Amino acid sequence: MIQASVRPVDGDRSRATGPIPYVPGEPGVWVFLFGDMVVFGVFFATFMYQRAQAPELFDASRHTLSIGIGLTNTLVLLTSSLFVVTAVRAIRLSQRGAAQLMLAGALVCALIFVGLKAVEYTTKVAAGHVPTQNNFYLYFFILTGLHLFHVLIGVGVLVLLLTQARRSTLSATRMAVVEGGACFWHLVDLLWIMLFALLYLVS
Amino acid sequence: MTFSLLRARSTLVWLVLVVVTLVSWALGADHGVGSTVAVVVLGLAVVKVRFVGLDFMELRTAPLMLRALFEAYCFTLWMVLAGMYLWL
Amino acid sequence: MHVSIEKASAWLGVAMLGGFLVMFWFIAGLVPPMSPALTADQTARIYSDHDLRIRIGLALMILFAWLFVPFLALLSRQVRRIEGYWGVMSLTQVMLSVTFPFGFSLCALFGVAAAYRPERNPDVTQALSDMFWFIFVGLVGPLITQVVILAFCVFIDRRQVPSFPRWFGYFNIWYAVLGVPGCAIYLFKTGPLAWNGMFAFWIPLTVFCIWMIVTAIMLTKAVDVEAAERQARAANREWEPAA
Repeated sequence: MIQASVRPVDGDRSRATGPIPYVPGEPGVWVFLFGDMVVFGVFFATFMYQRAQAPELFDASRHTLSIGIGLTNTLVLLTSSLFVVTAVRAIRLSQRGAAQLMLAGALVCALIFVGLKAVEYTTKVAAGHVPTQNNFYLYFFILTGLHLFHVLIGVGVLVLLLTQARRSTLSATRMAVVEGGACFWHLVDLLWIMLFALLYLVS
Repeated sequence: MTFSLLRARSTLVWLVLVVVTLVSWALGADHGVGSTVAVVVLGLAVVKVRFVGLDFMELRTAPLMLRALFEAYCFTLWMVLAGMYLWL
Repeated sequence: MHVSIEKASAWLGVAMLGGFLVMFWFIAGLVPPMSPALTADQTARIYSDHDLRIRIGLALMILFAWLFVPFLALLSRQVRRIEGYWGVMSLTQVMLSVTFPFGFSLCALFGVAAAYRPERNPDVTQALSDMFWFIFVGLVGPLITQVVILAFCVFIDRRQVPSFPRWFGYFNIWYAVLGVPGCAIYLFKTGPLAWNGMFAFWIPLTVFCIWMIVTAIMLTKAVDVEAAERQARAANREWEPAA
């Protein structure tokens, strides 16, 4: 079963001239991904600006966060990204069963993330840390909430990838959509890496 | 079959990412206000972002333009955030 | 002739974007927005101090808000072309386009009412002012829905020569995601999600301006695609599809 995609499966080191440069997904996806990255960059900078207005407050509030949940969530998302990138490789190699297994694993990770977030939010609110309490918690809830919105969209994307993994062949366009969707999930992971560092560690 | 799939660069990268996460957590959990540790933690975060982009998003083998944009983003992010941390 | 009118509609949209900025920013001075955390007296003071500017700027918007409509009509027509008939998506576009000018003129009506009688009770002025901001910044649903439908259409367009390139679909999704935070202003009086905040006002405003310009350009290109298709049909002596 020949995949329509020209993508060398594992970087194809056999070529003397090196691998062909290849756009993961399609160029349009990167308009969205870079756009999202830039805007989140602005959000990060806004957070740092607010932090500079009240460094002690931010540090003190940071210590009231459940860093264990934050750390676990980071590891969970990293693992889900591994599952996704492996799944994409499995699709290229026409190993549909393995691909579906990987994607199911990624979905489980995503749901664990959402569950942990729900736990974290409810415990924080129960302890009296609400968005209106102070600037730190305002930004904490807004930034993680916006990220959670992306995660929920990502869950939809992962389900879409699962349906595509069931097909025996994928046209070039569909493969591009699969790769683009995978990149979106990696974006979700990437943004969380920055958020974890900013909110839980650096404040 | 699944395990042979996992014996690839991406799994190694994942391992590195996990280790870096744990290191930055150990470093960053308690460091007070205004220390250089925070700049290191930010730097480690950007390193992780870079690995996710290059190896998971497969930008390592992407056209130069795309990769350059991404690297520039990572670099700018670190510079701006670390700068804001230290000098604002 | 169709082509010139359609292209003119696209550029009229951009012109009106400039007009909106002139009316709300330069004339009325309502951008940068006043803080929601101000007291009634402070709010009333702003409206009475800048009474004439605000009333003129907003009155102009009430008169000219409809100038957005041809742009939106063109957008609906292009969606109709992709859909193939006046189906659910095209009609939704049309109906949502009806609400679009009201996002500007209705809020302006409240703003003008707030500024109309400086000598009145400040609480009343503040309530009217709140309504202005609630509509202007917070009413994001219609436009978000429009662009999501547009993105969906771009992706499902399977014709030989599509009206819009695929990156435009992703661009619209980017815009939709960034426009959403505006709906949160009803819950905050300070911070980035208040009506003067970074996430709820400045980013959506910037992204809206970018969107209108990029969409106008893409619409003119889509008009050319349509004109070429019409010519090819004429050359083959095929019937034109119904409007």
